[in-house]
This record gives sequence, structure tokens and C-alpha cells, in this order.
Amino acid sequence: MTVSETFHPSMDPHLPRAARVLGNVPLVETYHLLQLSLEDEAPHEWVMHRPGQFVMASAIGVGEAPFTIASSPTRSRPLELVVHAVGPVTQALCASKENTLVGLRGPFGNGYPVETLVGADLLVLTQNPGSSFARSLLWYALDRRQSFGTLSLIYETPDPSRVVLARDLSAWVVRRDLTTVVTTLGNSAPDWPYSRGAAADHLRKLDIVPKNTYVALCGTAAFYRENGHALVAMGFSRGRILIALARRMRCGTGVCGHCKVGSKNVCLDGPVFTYWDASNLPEVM
Amino acid sequence: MLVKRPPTDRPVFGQTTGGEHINPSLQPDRAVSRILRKKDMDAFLESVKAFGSLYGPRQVGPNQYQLMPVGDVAPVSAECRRTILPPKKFLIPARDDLCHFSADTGYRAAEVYTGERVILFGLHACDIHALVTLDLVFNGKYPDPRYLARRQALAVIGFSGTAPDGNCFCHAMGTSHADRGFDLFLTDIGDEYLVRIGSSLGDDMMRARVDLFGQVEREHIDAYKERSDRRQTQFDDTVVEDLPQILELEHDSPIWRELSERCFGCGACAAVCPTCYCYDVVDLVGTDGITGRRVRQWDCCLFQNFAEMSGGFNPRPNRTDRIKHRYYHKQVHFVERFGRPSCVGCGRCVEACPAEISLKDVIAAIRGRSG
Repeated sequence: MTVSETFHPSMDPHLPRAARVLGNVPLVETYHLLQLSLEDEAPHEWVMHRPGQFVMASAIGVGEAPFTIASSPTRSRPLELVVHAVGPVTQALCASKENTLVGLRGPFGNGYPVETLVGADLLVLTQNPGSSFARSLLWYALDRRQSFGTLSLIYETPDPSRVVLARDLSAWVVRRDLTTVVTTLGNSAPDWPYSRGAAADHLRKLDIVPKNTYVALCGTAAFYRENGHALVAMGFSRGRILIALARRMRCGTGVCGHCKVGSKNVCLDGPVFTYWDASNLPEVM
Repeated sequence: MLVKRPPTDRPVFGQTTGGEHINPSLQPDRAVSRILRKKDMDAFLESVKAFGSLYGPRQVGPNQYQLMPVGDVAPVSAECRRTILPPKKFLIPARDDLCHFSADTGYRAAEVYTGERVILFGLHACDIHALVTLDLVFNGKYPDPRYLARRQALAVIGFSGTAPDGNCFCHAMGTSHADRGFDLFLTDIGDEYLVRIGSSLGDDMMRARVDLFGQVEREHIDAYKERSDRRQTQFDDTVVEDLPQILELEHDSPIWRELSERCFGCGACAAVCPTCYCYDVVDLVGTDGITGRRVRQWDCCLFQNFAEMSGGFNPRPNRTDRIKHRYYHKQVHFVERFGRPSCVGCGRCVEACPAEISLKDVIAAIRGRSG
């Protein structure tokens, strides 16, 4: 029985490609920045990904897990992932030395609708969890600076000593073409030179026009609820607020069922959703 | 009432506009049905074995059937209502290698199925619908090579001739009859089977023993219609027409919590479901410590850790959420995505459930006035 005329046996979406660890940079706590390169990489291959897309990365003999690509497609290599060592796969990846062989599949997922964002003002709100989305998108926008209007970032950290993207932030805070607010929820550092309070507390201080602006929210469900609510109250359309979801994944190709939220597969239809979509999906908000 | 087609200038496929110079023997054979006498069934199945490995339902216990290889003596039971495991076991084995790995050389794809054709005899319409449903999932944006290799090697001989029991609700799910997804489909019309030919392969199978097959006569058509009318009355129907909407409205019904107090979360329903396809992936390391294989295996959304992420976040931490997810996936979300529910009403989950939870009862309760 003919099922598919487009099927080519050579295409195997389950087969990881060999990649090498070029660098493993400890960030804070158990967060690491992994720099990877495919063994048989075509020139500028990763230029093809979109900010917000993810890869399935394997620690050989341990397992596989999804990771948001933390680097921007405007910088061809290496491919960078921010890995938080919380389980066997992430612990193995974070322990990997230079030149370790790992597996990579992807990129998967929709990523940010960059064609739509071009020409608009962009506001990025991020926490430590989700900061890979922010990192990829923000470097993309900064590298194509002329394609965007105003660029703003609010980075919310639980504590001044726990800023995952500290290195990137040091490059961002000095830029004049980007408004950066770094805010801490903790009170532990009296000499903290930046802001205090939740991200939502700083929204109204920014000079943003809701109808000209897209917002990328990168963080946890509670972060989306709090800031989504505040943004809608400021007059933002729910369709201009973009959230990014993280779910357990096994295939990345829309079959294994683990990342299902309602009728959507996070791996196929996401991980980037509008706040409107997310509000109408079960178990998200 | 007959609907008269509007006249058209375009030539209809298989005909020419003139028609006077057609050699009648070259006319396409439009008769896609034939008649097979019941007493010739064994001889026919014997000839089908030339086309591949023939599997059919064999009784393995009281009211228990399994799809097993058909041996020399014809042990096939056409009286089977449902097999313990659905035909998905031929397409998605309970455990299947995805790739092999080595710490030195990385990953190498596991072989896809290259074995001979598997012919499944005796599939009911609901199971045929289930195969078509699986195709929607596995042949999506990323066609699954392992599934498709097995699927392309699968031939289906459908069968209708068994009266439904109390667990069947295919009629409600719109899957009590199949018009596609088979190579041959046999319907019991008394002393004979009406054989519908659904593919070129089915045509080959019929022609291999063309001596056994007769033309469809008026009496056969009438017998089929009579049977069709009789069959409509054999189902005690659950109404599911607007079930997705009612489920949306009853999202917070106490029924879901009550159900979670009965459900053991054992996953038997998913194992026997012909359209449950969710899988987990595990890496199995060999005794040398550096090589191994990556395996996918059946999973179930009722298991507590099904959606749990590293770090402990679980979008469905309690059983009520997971039960609801299972029902809503089958009856609402799949409809939103593919236009039809993924449940085909085969009744296996009802039969397999140790807590005696019946989907029919759940639907009846959810349609009840007090929710």
C-alpha cells in the first residue's frame, strides 16, 4: 500500500549527527555554555536556523534532550547551547571535555517569526530559565540592528550572583542602541549597581508604544502570567506577545507525544507561541 | 432520488468522447467487487500466502484472539470481535531500535524493515481506520522511515461479519465501515462474501485464484443492503457528534476527579489501543561500556513521569490531569488537528481496563445533565 510518495529512505529524522565539543564554559551554578561543531558541517550550516529553534543533543550512552539554540544564526559557528545540569543527560553534557563526541539532531520547531518582527520595536523580557531564547533573539536583532526599531531588554535574576548571561549582559549594558534593565529579586547585594524588583515593575518605565512593539517573554509559566497580564494592561495585543515553552521531548518530530499541549506539539507548532495561543492551551498558563 | 450530473464537455477518465472505436476488452475494469463462496475461503487464503506472510486472528483463550501467522491448516477465526493487541504491533513494535552508538564513532542508523510483505487477514473496519489514523501521525512533517518501511510492506484484508458486542462503539465513532485503507475487504452476506477490491495488490490476489470469484449479481447487492440495514440496528449508539464541544464545556467537571480515583494509571488501555502511538526513547549501553543502541518503546500518557522534565517540572502532576489529557487528546485535540477523533471505538480499552472503566460510560456521564 502506498503511503507516501515523498518519502526518501535516506532521510532519518531520528539519527543524530556527530558533533564535537569545541568549548565548555562554566557560567553560574550548574549552567554551562557548550560550543559545538558538527563533524560534517557544511559552511555556515547553522546560519539556517532561526532564533528560538532547538536541537536534540545526545550525550553518547546517556541519552538525548532538547536544548534551545542559544547562539544567533547571524554568527555561523560554533553552535552554542546553555545547558543547566539537572539530570543525567545535562550532567553528562556539562561534564564533557573539549573534543568530546556528542550527537545533534535538528534544528526543530518554529522559532521566532523574524520576518514579522522586522521593522518593529522589540522588547525582550527574560529570566535565567529561558535565557537561551533571549540570547539567540537578541544577538540576532543586534547583528541586524538596522532591521529593527528600538530594542529593549529586561533581565530578571533571582539574585545578583546568579546571572546566567552575565557575559552577554556586560556587552549589552554598554550598547547605546539597546536599552537594558537588569533587575534582581533578591536583597543580598547592597552594592548591586542595577535595578531591583520584578521585571513587570520596570515595564512602564520603558518608552515603548504597544502597537509598534513585539515582546518576547522568556521564562517560566509564572513569569508569563505576571508579565503577560501587565503587558495586556498596558495595551499590548495578545498576538504581539510571544512566549516560549519548554517541555519534555523524545523525538522533536511531532510523534512521541511528550510535548503535547492541547492540539499543539511544542516541537512542531512551538516552542514559540503567541500569548493568545498560550492562553487558550491547557496546562500552560 | 438520483441526482443527474450536469453535462460536461471534458472527457471522463476511462472513456473517450466518441466511444465508437473502443475495443470492449480494453475498457477499464470498473467492477471493484467480486463474490467469494464461503466454502472457498480456505483455498483463497492458501493462495494469498504466495504474496507474503499471512497473519490472521487465532483463538488463544475464551473470547481471546491474537493476530498470528496462518499455518497450513486454516485456523483463522473470522468470528473474532477484537484481537488482544491491535495491528499497530506490526508497524510500531513494542520495542524498536532507532540507532546504534559508539563512544568513538557516534551514531549509526538502525536498519529499517526490509523483510517480506505482511498480510493481515480479518481486520475489522475500526482497525483499518486506526491504520489510516496512524499514517496521519507518522507520515507528517517528518516522515518516520521505520514506520513507513513496515507500512509499505503491509497488506490488509478486511473482514466484516461479526456482530458487535457491548464494548463496540465504532458506529458512534464513524468507523464501522471502511472505504479505503485495505487491499481486499470481505463482507459476510450469507453463503458468500462480497469482496471489495481496494488496490492493485488486492486485484492481484483475487486474480491469483480468479476461478474462485464470481461476478456480483442483483441478489448479492440486495443481500448486502439487507445486511447493511440490519447492522445499523446492532449498535447501541453513544452520541459523539459534538463531543469535542461538550468536553470543552465540561473541562472542569467533577467526573474527571471521580475517574482518577478509579483509574490505576496502569496504561493497559494505551497498550491495546490501535491508535496510541506515544513512545519513549532510552539508550541501552552494552557490557563493553562504550557501545549500545537507542530504543524506542511504547509509552503511556497516564504514567506519572510521562511529561515530567529534568528538574522536576511536570505539567500534569496529578492523575486527574493525565486522565483528562488522554480523553481530550483522543476526542478533542486530535479532532482539532486532523479533523477526526483518534478513537476508533474498537472497545479494547474497555476490555483491558482492570478498573472496568468504559469510555462509553464516561461519554454518557459527561453528556448527562449534571455533568
